[in-house]
Order: sequence, then C-alpha cells, then structure tokens
Amino acid sequence: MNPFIQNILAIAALIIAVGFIITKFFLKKKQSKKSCSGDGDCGCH
Amino acid sequence: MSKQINVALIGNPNTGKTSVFNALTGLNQKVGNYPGITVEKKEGVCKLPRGVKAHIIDLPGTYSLNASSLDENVVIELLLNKNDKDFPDLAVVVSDVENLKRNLLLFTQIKDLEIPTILVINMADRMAYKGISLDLEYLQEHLKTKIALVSTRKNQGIERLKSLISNYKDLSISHNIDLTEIDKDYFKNLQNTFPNQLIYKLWLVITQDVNFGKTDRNEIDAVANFKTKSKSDLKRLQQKETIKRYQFINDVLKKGQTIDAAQAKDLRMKIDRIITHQVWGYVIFFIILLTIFQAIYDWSSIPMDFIDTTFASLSEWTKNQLPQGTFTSLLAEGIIPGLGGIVIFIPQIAFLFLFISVLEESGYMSRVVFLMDRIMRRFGLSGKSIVPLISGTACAIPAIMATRNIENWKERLITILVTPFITCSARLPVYLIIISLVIPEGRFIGLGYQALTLMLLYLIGFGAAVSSAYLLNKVLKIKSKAFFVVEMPNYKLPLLKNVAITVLEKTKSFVFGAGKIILAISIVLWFLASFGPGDDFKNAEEITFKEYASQNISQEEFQQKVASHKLEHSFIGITGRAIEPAIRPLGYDWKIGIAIVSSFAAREVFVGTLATIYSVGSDEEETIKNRMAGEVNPILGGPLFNFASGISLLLFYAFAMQCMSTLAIVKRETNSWKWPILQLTIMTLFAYIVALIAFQLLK
Amino acid sequence: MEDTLANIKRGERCIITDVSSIHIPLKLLEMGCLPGNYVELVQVAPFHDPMYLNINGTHLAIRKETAMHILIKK
Repeated sequence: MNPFIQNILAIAALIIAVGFIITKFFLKKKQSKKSCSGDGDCGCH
Repeated sequence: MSKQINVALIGNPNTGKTSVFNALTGLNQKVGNYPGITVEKKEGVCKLPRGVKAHIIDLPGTYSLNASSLDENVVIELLLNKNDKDFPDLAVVVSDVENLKRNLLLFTQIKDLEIPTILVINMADRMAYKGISLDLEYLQEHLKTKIALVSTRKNQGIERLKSLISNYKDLSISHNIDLTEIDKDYFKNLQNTFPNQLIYKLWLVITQDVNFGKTDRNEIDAVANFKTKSKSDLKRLQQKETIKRYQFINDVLKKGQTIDAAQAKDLRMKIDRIITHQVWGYVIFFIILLTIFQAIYDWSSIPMDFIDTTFASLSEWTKNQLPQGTFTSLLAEGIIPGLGGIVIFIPQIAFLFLFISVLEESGYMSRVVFLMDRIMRRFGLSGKSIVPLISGTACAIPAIMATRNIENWKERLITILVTPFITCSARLPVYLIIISLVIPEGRFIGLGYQALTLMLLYLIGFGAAVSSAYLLNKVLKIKSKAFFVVEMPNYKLPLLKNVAITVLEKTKSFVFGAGKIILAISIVLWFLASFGPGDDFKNAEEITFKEYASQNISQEEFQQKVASHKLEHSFIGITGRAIEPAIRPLGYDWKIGIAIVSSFAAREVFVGTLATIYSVGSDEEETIKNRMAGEVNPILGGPLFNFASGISLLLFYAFAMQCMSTLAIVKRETNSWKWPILQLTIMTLFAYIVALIAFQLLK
Repeated sequence: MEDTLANIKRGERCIITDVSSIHIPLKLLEMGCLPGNYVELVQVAPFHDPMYLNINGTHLAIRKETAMHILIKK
C-alpha cells in the first residue's frame, strides 16, 4: 500500500472519530431523546 | 399482507411480567426510552400463526392506574391516548397466582377502559405448592376475559397466550365495575356532562394530571370544573372505589379460587425469619457484599490478563505484518489499544450485572431495602436508596434512574446527588491498574492486599455518599411527605434466561455505547500525540542528536529519546504541559493530566488514553501495565506511579465527578442545571483537595 | 381492643378497623390495606421500624409513622 492511501485512510478515520464525538456530546440536545437512554447508550454504560 | 397487533404487557411488579415478555419475544427485543423522559421502554416482536406479528410493549410495573411515579405514569398516558402509535389493540395483564386478589385490582381498572384484555395467571407451577386451585371457566365468565395459565419457568401456557392474542377480536370489552355506584350524583352528573366519554377515563383525568390525546383535550378541559370537590373528598372517593373493586374481586374469587391452607407451604416465612433478622440479616448482607467484590476481583482478573496480552501482541503483529505508513501506525498504536481498552472491561461488567440481576430477581433486594431503611433515614435517604446505591456499583446512570420509585422528593434528590460517589464499574479499570502498580501483592488473613484496597475504595465511595447525604439532609430545605411502601416479593430462583438477557443487554450496550466513544477518543488522541506544531516537533531528530552528540548512546536509546521528544512537543504534549502546574502538586505528570481530562467523557477512557500515549512513544510489545510501571517521574525521579501518586490518583477518581453522561442524566431527572453543576463543582474540588493532601503527606 | 398498627406484636394476627385516608397513600390502600382485612406482623427491623407485614396475603414493609394511622382490632 502506498503512503498516499495510508494517509487518506488515516484521515478518514480521524474525521469519523471527530464527527462521532461532536454529534455525541455537542449536538446532544437534538439527539438526546433517542440516543441517550437507560440501556446506557450514552458514553457510560 | 402481514398484519401487526399492538400488545401492551401490564402488571404489578414482581409478577414475572418480564419473564412473560422474554418468553414471547426471545432475543427479538430492544430497549429504548420513552420520548423526553428516561423511562425504559422495552419492545419486542412475537410471531403469531397466520403471518400475524404482535408488537409487544413491556410497560413499567404498576400496582394500579393511579400513578405515583414517572414510570407508572407512562402506563396511564399510553392507555388514555388513542392517538399514540403504540396504543394497544389489546392489553395483557400479567398476574401472579399467589397474589391474584391484589393483581386483579389493576385488571378491573383496565377493563373499565374498555380495552380488550387477556389475563395471564403466571407462576402456575406454584399452585400445587401453595394449595391453590382455580375454576378457570368461572373466572373467565365473571371477569369477562380469557385467561392463560402460564408458567414461564416450566415454559407452559405460552402457546395458549399466543393464540389468545391472535384471536383478540373475540374478547369482551365490557366493564367489571359500575363506577356510578360509588357516588351516584357525582358520577351521573359527570357522565351527563360528557356523554361521549368513558366515565372511568374522565375519573382518571380528574384525579390525576395526565396528558392525553390532543383531540380529546379540548373537550376534556372542561373536566376541571369537576375538581370542585376537595382533595380529601376525591381521595375518599378513590378509597371507596378501591373498596368496591376489592368487593367485586373477593366475590369472584370466593367461587373461582380455593386455597387449601393445609397444603400450603410457607417457606418464605422461615427464610425471612433469618434473612431479615435484626442481627443475622445484616451479617448475611455483609457476607454477600464481600463475596461479590472478592469474586469480581478474582474471577475477572484471568480473562482480563488474557485480553491485555492478546491485544498487545495483536498490535505488535499489525506493526510487523502490514506495510509501513500512517494508517498502520494508527491501527497499531491508536485503534487496537483503544479496542483493547474496551474489551478488557467486559468480564467485570458482565460479572457485576450478573450479581445485581440475581439479587433483584431472587427478591433479596427488597429485604435489603427493609433492613436498611432505618439506617438510611438517619442520613436523609430512604431504604429504597439502597437499590440505586447498589446499582451505582455498576453505573450511576441506571442507578439514578432507579431512584424514581422513591416517592419522597427530598429523599430522592439526595439519593441522586450522592449516587455518583459510589464506585461504578467505570472506576474499576482505573483502580485495578493503579492498584496492581502501587499496592504490593501479599495476603492478610486470606485476603489479598490488592483486593482489600479495592474493598476499601468501595467503602470510601459508600462513606462519601452517605456522609454527603447527611450534610445535604441538614442543608436542603425541602418539605415533602414521606411515603414508604415496599412489597416483599416471594423468593424465586432467578430464571437463567432473564439473568442472561440482562447481562447480555448491559454488556452489549457498554461495548457499543461507551465503546464507540472510547474508540473515537483513542483515534483523536493518537493524532494529537503523533503530530505537533512548530520546529520542535519537526526537527526532533536533529535536536535530540545535538543534545546527545557528546554522549555515547545506542541507536535504540536514541530512537526512544526522539520519540519522547516528539511526544512532548506534539499537540497533546503541549496541552498536557500547559495544565501540568495545576496537577503537579497531586503527583501527576502531564501524561496523567491528559488522561484525566480525556476521561471526563467516561472514566474508563483513562486507561485507554495512557495506553495510547505510551504506545506512541514505545517500540516494544508490552502490556499497558508494564509501560506504566516503566514511567519515570521527571522531577522527583523514581517510578511515576509510586505509592504516593497512586493513592492520590485513586482518591481523585474516588471522589471526582468524572462522567459527562451522569451529569446529563442528573439534569434530566432533576429538571434543572442547578444540581448537576453543583455536583460537578463540589465533587471535583473535593477530589482535588483530598488527592493533594494525600500526595503531600505520603511523598 | 382497638390499637394502632404500630403497636402490633410479632406473630399477632389482627383485623384492620379503620385507615385515616389523608395520611395513608392510595397505593397502600390498593395493596389491600383496607378495613376488614387481616394483618400480621412478620418481622421488624431494629427500633421496630420499618415493619414487615402480611396484609390480606400481600407481604409489604411500611414505616412506623404510617402504621400509626392504621387502626386495628385484636
């Protein structure tokens, strides 16, 4: 695999991770009704 | 075309309603929340003959439609709102054969709502044992329903229940009770004013604040006029209503049920004489707790060590086998250790939920409530607070939600505020790794020092919870009426299936809930640790070369110096060093600082963060623990994780409110930002001070 | 002999004669704590509080302060 593809993959992973954290913690108000629940789907368990 | 029937499963607590639900749906279920509130909503699908599907909702357990808690309110809101998408086509009322009389109260209320209703008489396997026999024909006729005699333990009667569900159109919807007989003038007047409404529905709206279907809303608003009766008058009517219902039930059961007292065996009394005994009760409770902690520590250490080494070698393998590059490094140093940091907690979480669900299922938890009430009340808590406090050892979130059945608001608020002090399973990994680093192995009267330390930390958490409850009880000026009614259910052998589903469900939601966040944070951290701004980072090799040019160091050592120089000047290193002055007095370096900050998302991130940070700087295949043991304190010299800094860290984690999700739940449950903010400030400040004192004294 | 439920002794079986509905939560009534039903003390915690009762076949625990508002006949 050439370094270019390696970089692309790594950056993609970073974007997904950052995007996930942002939606989880900073856009919580919109989401909270569905996602944060008793089954512990909320960052703790 | 496939058809779907909405089925609501309703019943008193402790009737085995969830077992019926599990028997109908198997693993075909999902747990969510009712919109806007944190009441657990369990739904599942059950396949019926002829391609019909039943969508089954397991409603929260309730003794009656007169709701006294948020959970119970869910039941009545759903049953009154015909426009709700989940509005049931039929209700299945689950009752327990030993408590049929009381269980039928709820049944008659639901019948009065004119919803087709099936009666499940559960735990039928206990009938012979209790000397009970039932005349089902008679009961069906007089209760105007169909009955399914079910034993989930023996797997009997479920097929009949399914066939009754699919033929729900044959069910009668006529009443059992005529409300107007209670107070003729009042109820007749009420019915005449609203000829199109069900009288029982009107009565429910008058006696409690329910929010119901929008279309009905306007018409029913006028009902307010009927609240003219004073509160105590209304309550007197409710009492008369209850008496009336019981009269009906007694009349029906007199012929429909025979109990041969001579045949009945009462083992529970014998067990309870000991288990709830004024002395032995407490001794037994303490022994059970001790066993649980020892077991969690001992049993889970084997799979945990295995997981730790497996991930270390997996990481090493990836690095050697895949072509070199950024992504391979990310995999080997960020993602795999991050995943390892999730998987490693599975054994403990599974064990913990195993114990908690066994205690609840067996009926023992209610005995603990009984035993502890008087003691807890001294601290402004209720005996019912013991359930949140014990579940808090798993996670504060379900624990805080479990406070809902504490009827007294002040006791409930105090319980919510102090529960985060209880050692939750997220603290466990932090504790375990630090204990294994700083507490020597060895034994004291059969118990390991390390296990004792863990036990001590649990006691400290519990102590902090009750003493802050004591203070809050003195400080908070809230007046509220205290009611305390706890049912003491019969002892039951926990159903393996129920326990297994709970353990599986909770573990799964940890792996996919918290796990995703831990993984995401590990990825971000890896980037922050692997890149940095400015020349210091870019020219790390030259700078290190110059610095060590005069010294004779090996190539390997040189590489390590470069790596640590890079880490120090990476984004994460810069941030970490910026906050270092604040945490240095506690005995921590900037790496621990980063771990503390990132673990605010969830405590267990602490270990994953350190794993990521240290693996960025190292070349060799090593476990997290070995890497941490090798760290050197940059200022004092000697191992970074020594007795003083270790104890300081343990205490910091014992007291600090390191969990965003808990704050969010507290906000929702108290309906105000005031309490979570207060919690965060006080707990963190206290944690900091205690950790500071501990380190300064011990160093 | 009339007395309040708070003074019942272990193993004693009594009949409930009156409940003060203002002081008693509806939930307790609904669980069977109604005039005419029998009540038996199964066990008490230290200081006689809370009380573990068998009311009309339902086993439950209530606090002494609540029991004081329930009248019984021996």
